[in-house]
Amino acid sequence: MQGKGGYRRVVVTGLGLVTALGSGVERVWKDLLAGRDATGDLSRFPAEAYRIRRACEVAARARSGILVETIAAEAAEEALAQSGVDPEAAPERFGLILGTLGSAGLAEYERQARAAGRAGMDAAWARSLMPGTLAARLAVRFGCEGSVATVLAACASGNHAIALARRRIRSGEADTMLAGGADVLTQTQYTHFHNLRSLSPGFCRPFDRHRRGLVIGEGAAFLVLEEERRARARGAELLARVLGAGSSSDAHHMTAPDPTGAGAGRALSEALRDAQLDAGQVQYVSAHGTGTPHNDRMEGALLGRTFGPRLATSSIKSMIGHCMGAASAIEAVVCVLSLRDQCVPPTIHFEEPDPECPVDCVPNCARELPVKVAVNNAFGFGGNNSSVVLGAHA
Amino acid sequence: MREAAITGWAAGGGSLACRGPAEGWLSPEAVDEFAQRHRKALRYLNHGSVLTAALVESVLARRWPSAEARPGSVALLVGSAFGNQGETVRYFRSIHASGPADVAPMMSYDVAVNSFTSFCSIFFGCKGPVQLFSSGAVSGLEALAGGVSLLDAGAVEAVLVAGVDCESDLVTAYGLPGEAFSPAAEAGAVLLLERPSSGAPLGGRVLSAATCFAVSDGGRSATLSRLTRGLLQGRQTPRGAVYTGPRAVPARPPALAEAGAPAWLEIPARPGAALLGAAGPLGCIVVLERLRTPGRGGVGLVVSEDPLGWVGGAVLGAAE
Repeated sequence: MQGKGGYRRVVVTGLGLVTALGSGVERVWKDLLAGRDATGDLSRFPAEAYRIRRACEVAARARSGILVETIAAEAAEEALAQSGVDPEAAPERFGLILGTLGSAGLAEYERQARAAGRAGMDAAWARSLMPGTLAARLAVRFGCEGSVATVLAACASGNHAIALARRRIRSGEADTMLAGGADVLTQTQYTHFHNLRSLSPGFCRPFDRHRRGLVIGEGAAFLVLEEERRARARGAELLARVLGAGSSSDAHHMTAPDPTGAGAGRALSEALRDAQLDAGQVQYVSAHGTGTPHNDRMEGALLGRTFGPRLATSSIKSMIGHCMGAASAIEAVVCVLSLRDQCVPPTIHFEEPDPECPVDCVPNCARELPVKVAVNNAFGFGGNNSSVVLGAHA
Repeated sequence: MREAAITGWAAGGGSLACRGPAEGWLSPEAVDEFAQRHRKALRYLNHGSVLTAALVESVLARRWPSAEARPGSVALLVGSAFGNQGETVRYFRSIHASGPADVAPMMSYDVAVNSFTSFCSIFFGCKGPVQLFSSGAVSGLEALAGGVSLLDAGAVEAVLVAGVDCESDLVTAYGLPGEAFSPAAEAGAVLLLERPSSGAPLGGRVLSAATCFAVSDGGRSATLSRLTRGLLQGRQTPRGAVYTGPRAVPARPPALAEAGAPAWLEIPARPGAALLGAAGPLGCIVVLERLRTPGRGGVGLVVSEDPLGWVGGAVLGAAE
């Protein structure tokens, strides 16, 4: 099936999730709709020296090994199992694109350094710390012989991975792509956000007048993207369509977003243009919604200008924290579920509206809502912006 | 895969043999001069970002002498095996040694693994997409394939494609004798891509570029051959080829023999240097220089492979 310009249409046929709320799409979705909060005390590394000690940590795994690889593989396996696609039929047409901040191996390196009292380096550690190694290991595990790439675009990495995977299919380079993100909590990243004073001392409260910052999380999510005609021919269940994607750079500051929202607005406009939709055709936005004063003010103003104050816009970071490179991939999965079940998750811990954030953030309770088009926003450090538009398959 | 016009390039870094004042080749002294000229902005910055920025400035200044003439939407795609991970590890060591509270605050701005792209987008006002790709020695070709695809999608007017890796103890450890690369070293290369219809003076053309993956060591050679056949389909026999891969290869990989590429061009690097992210874009520059030689023309081939499984390639054409 071809869309305008001769490009092939791209559908979602499988989803996989691991978050601090648990493993498995249906379990996590149920908890998100229930407004359950995964925030707890930081336990992954010694935390006495930190002013703020809060995080959303995934449950410990029984087997040893690199945690981010374990959870990424779990999420990918779930997505492939749901999809039912058989990549062995044409492995050279099956690829994988992973979005990440590069935590692979770093958590384990930190742990061994703390245990040994010194942080040495050898070839094995260097290989483990190379950001692309995780995708390579996943590719071997799942037999991906097409395009296999790791994209690092700060907190927008997951959306970038989805957009790149979609482009591979649309251009005819691939028929099936695993696209997603994975990151785990590291002392390095935690200290980075902590020393920039970006962390909330309590909960993450996106768009609330008294919000004070983000809560770091961790997790993994994958979507199976396929060329629509092939997916239909093999009888796959079509969960959603990836209608459009747009990305931009603020070119403004290494950590603070452009307060005017111009860069984020360009990504959003480009995504809608690519989807051949206008703002009035969108029913739900999964916000970047980190709970920081700067991001939420910028994003709230942008969404208010673009969609008006009554569009349902929630941030699941209020429940699972900011999962860094995995965040927008997890949120894309949530958009697909919203399309499937015609309901949207809440933004919890919301008590008082901020006049500078004129959005309907679905405060505290999930909401049944007819959703045909959802937008997933991701606005990362360094001014990396990406928006993806997902739509119902019918 | 559609074509892209190459309208500028630059290369530099400590592991490259100095090419003197040849156009587009930056000596280590030239990179240092750039850092000194912008020392206020670069004061706390990692060397990878400095090298990338020096190369980008060289390309942009020759293509658009004034910043006002540059297009509004320029993307920056960087291929780097390790990105800024060396600095990330250094940051952790500071935390480990002195505790989180005593880490120098300015280090926090330099910690991101993708800081090369973030910094350059701010420094040069690149408002298109910025992405860093990590695919070992094929990282640069991954960025090139992504850049061609981005132009074809009509999302931007120009794309800066860079391949950069810098010295760090990760890179040095990765390149220990007996390991896949010995020793891995510092180099960078940048290509400026525009649409063929842009009317800009051409340095050459990217006719096709792609990457894929071999799930087994034994299958990598066959995968590289398959990729190369696909890239060259319907095209004339390449006049020459650049290959980058693990260890010193005494004979041409089967892919080059199958392609009938009669020459095997060398990257002007110091002996034993394996160039990781920079390898692919540097290979493109070497091919383009050869194709520009009067009476040459035709097409050239760049192929690259990494021990972890990535393979990549590009076919380049002379400016018409």
